[in-house]
Amino acid sequence: MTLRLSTTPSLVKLSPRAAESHERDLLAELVSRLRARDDILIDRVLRELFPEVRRWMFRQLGPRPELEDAVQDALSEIASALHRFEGRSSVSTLAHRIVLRTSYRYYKKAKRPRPVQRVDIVADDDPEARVRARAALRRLHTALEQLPERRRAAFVLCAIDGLDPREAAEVMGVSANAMRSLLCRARAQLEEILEDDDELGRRR
Amino acid sequence: MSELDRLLEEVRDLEPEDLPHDEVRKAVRRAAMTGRARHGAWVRRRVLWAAGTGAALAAAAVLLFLHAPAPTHPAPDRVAQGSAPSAAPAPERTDLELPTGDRLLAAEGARFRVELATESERRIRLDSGSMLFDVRPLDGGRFRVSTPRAEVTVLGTVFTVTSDRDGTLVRVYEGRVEVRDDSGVQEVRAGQSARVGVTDDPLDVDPLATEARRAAGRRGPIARAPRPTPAAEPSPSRPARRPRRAPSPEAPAVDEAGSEPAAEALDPARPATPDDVRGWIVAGFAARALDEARDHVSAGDLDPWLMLQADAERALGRHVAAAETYARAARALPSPRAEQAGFASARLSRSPTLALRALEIGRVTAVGSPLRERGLAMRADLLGRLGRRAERARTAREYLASYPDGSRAADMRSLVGDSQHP
Repeated sequence: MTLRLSTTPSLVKLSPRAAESHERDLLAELVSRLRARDDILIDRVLRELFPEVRRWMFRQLGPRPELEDAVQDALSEIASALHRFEGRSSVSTLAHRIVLRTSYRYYKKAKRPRPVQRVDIVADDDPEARVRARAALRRLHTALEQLPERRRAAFVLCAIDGLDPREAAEVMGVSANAMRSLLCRARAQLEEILEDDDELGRRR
Repeated sequence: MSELDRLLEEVRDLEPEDLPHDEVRKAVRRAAMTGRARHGAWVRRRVLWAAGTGAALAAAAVLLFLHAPAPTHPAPDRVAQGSAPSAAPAPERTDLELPTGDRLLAAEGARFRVELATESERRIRLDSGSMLFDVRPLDGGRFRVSTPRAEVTVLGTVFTVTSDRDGTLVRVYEGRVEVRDDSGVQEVRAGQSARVGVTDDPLDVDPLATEARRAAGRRGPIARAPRPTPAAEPSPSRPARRPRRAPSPEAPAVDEAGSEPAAEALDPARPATPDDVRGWIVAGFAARALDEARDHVSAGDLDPWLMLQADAERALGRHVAAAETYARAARALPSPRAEQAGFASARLSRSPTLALRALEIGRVTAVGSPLRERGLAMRADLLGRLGRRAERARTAREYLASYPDGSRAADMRSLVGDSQHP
């Protein structure tokens, strides 16, 4: 049993809704070992989650100096939650939910002025494309910051993280209909904000 | 394609640059440690909640039981308010549990009454005799015992009070209490006793000592662990800190030889000391430590709490926040903490410009600074990262002038030479 789990390539994606029964068995084993506070397994799960958590947080918060703080906060909360993980969703979904909740706290913090600091991003090697990508990212997040937090989170999950509305609804803990409504409103509001955006005005 | 779609197209594949492997390892280790501590706190909160519910049910059962026949002593829910006379002396030991979960044990012959037993305030009047009080953590409420000569205010503890016409003797077995008499207030800690007026009782003979030690022992597993209050990780509410007053000379607190010391006892209402908070950070309760430090800082108590706030933030991996707090400490605290804070801020800053500013704020490289050597070396490295080679060479020369045999002297010599061949 232990051997099977240790040879499983990805622990965090094991889902209770998996079609194959052996995957569900593996999830059950993962749950029991996490609840028994298997430190080695917890370490492995956290390592596996780390890049994902960082990517999700980056997409929610955009390029801002507190990104690493927010990632660390989310990771600590995930580590705490793993001890009482019940396997009703995948670890990945649980982690995504926690990242979202943590990012809400940082949305609020962002309202006070912070020293500008650069966050390195992976972009095209072409310096011009890099500058363009940075500008686009900054502009999009400036617009996103004007949205209510749930609308903003819903939009980022679907439009940037690429989740389908049903998955995003599960992460946010809302119904599929509520998610569709959040998305429609977010999109309409963003279109409006960008329409009034100074930069767009200048380009026209 | 709309403007929004165009922007999304450009940013969809952007990702933050990967962190070095070592940083990932540290972040995961920190998270695992904090996660364990938070989970432990969560478990303890659940246990306390279950225990509280159990105690409330037991209290209800006791009250029902006391309702049935006419009791020797007034049951807490039927006690008249105000200054009605005490009940007749108890013919035997009487064990009571208040609806609030506090336990009262009256020795044979004690004359007492429960004047008030609500969550926010419990008031007991003890006219004569001895009583044991095993007080539940108060969560901001008050627990007072008044005798003809003194008033004892409790902050969640186990203690006994012996009273007669001429005096009152208070013995504390766990936690601490404040004893007030005509001459002032004094604080009595676990293992100490205080005498007000003249009592016949010798200090080392407490009729309720065995029960008191047992009650303190029951609280021991929680109380003596060197960790913050279970309910406080994170802490939604903590009792306000109380000002300390000098002990009254008429009623000095004395160490009681016969009592069990309750060192390291955790009194939820006791204000945490900087050493407590340092211990919490080391033990992994950094979130609790951060709450405590922030409370002090927001009350204007900066030294050493600002440093502790930054230490807790760093332990939680909030490096940006920690760098800012250290920089604030460098501005606000006196030497040598200003230098330490400036250096720590510079080490945590991700931007070389901010790091240089932190070194400057903390006067880390000033003559006489305990961190001057390391500060100069760091400054030279940072200037190099910014491409300011002339300034870097100047800093390297400054380093060599003060520390010709320093641990970075060889590097600094190469920097001086390097600046001559741009």
